[in-house]
Amino acid sequence: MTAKEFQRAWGGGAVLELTEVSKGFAAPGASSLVMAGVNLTLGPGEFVAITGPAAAGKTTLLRLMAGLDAPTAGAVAVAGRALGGLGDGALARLRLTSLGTSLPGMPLLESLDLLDNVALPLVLAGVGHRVARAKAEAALRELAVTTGASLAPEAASPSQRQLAQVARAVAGDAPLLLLDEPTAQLGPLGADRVLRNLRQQVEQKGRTVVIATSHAAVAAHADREYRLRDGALEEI
Amino acid sequence: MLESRHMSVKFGLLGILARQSQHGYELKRSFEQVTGGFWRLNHGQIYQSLDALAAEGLVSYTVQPLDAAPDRKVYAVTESGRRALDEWLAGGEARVRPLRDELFVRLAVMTDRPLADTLALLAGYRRSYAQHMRELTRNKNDLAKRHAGPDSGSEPLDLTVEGLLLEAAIYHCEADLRWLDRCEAVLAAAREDVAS
Repeated sequence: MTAKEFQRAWGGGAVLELTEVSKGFAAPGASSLVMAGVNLTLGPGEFVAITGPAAAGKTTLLRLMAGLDAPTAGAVAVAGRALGGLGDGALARLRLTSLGTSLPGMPLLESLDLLDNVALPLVLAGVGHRVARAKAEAALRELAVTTGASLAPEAASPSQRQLAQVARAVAGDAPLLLLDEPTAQLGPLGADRVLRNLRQQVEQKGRTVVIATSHAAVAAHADREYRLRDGALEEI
Repeated sequence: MLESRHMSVKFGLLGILARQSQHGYELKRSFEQVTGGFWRLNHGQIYQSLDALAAEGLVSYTVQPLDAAPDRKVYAVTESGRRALDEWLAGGEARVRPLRDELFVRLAVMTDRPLADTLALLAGYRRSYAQHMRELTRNKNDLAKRHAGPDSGSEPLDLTVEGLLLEAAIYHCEADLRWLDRCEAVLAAAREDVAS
């Protein structure tokens, strides 16, 4: 599917919509708000970086976008569906079909090799086993993981594991990709390869990509940068 | 530093002409391309440098008549120009670049102003640097595509060096952004200390 075909099929609505999202964590005797009144609307084919100092809440924001955490107030919608109204099963299905993610808390499964880890979300989404493995293999190959695909995560290098997580995020047809520090374990060439691959997902397939990073050089690959600071999200 | 910049432009132009004779506008484009697109020259700088090179006998020119536009001068390197270029490339000491920037002076003289003003100044610089960084990264990705393409129209080594120069600009920009983040964090903490 080309970017244009995708956008036509999509109809031009928002792929991701955050409305007045706040998130607080209860602490003994107090509660602290890590973000307040965050608004963000992204359409198809947007490539955005969320930046900010360490502990600014970048990962929390991505987890809210993925429905892995619920906001304290406000609403998150992915592909036109409000996450707040969905039960666990519906949320899981939406994640499988509409989201490609590489986030903390969603590790590779140790019982599967890298190839099957990449294929797993596709299989769970109903794609036949052979097709899923072929897509997984292609995604890994595009990221230059060829020899390590049959390794168990434990036996793979940190960079191979990270590349497999990125491959797992991009292998399907999800319109929205969310990746937290997608190059943290990679050298400069591997990082370039991942960031160019994400650019291709945007330009050739019309997908929307959100990366969170504290590295300016990584953020510069996106078309726009939003900075999270003192609980507010500001486009810079 | 101005002197060294001036010399870099002068010999940069001479180096380009040593490969191929060009007119002023072509030279401007060539210079900007070989330096990775981050060293922009205005027409005044080009013609001032060319006049100086011609006055020193390092370049010569022929006038090319054009039908629909004013005549233009096509510049070529002279023998003494080639010798001067060789000497410049072979000689000179490797100097550490002095770190001077308008922002440093501004920061230094605004410590008696409200911290909010300083933070706003830093935020403005951060925006500019982030935008510049995105441009450089786009150029780098475009260059990689040209490099991988079947016929880039350029020598592979030229593209490699152009890429390295672009990376130099990206690394500098990254260092500036890291430093701006650091300034912002330290000054914001200082503001909280003052407030508490």
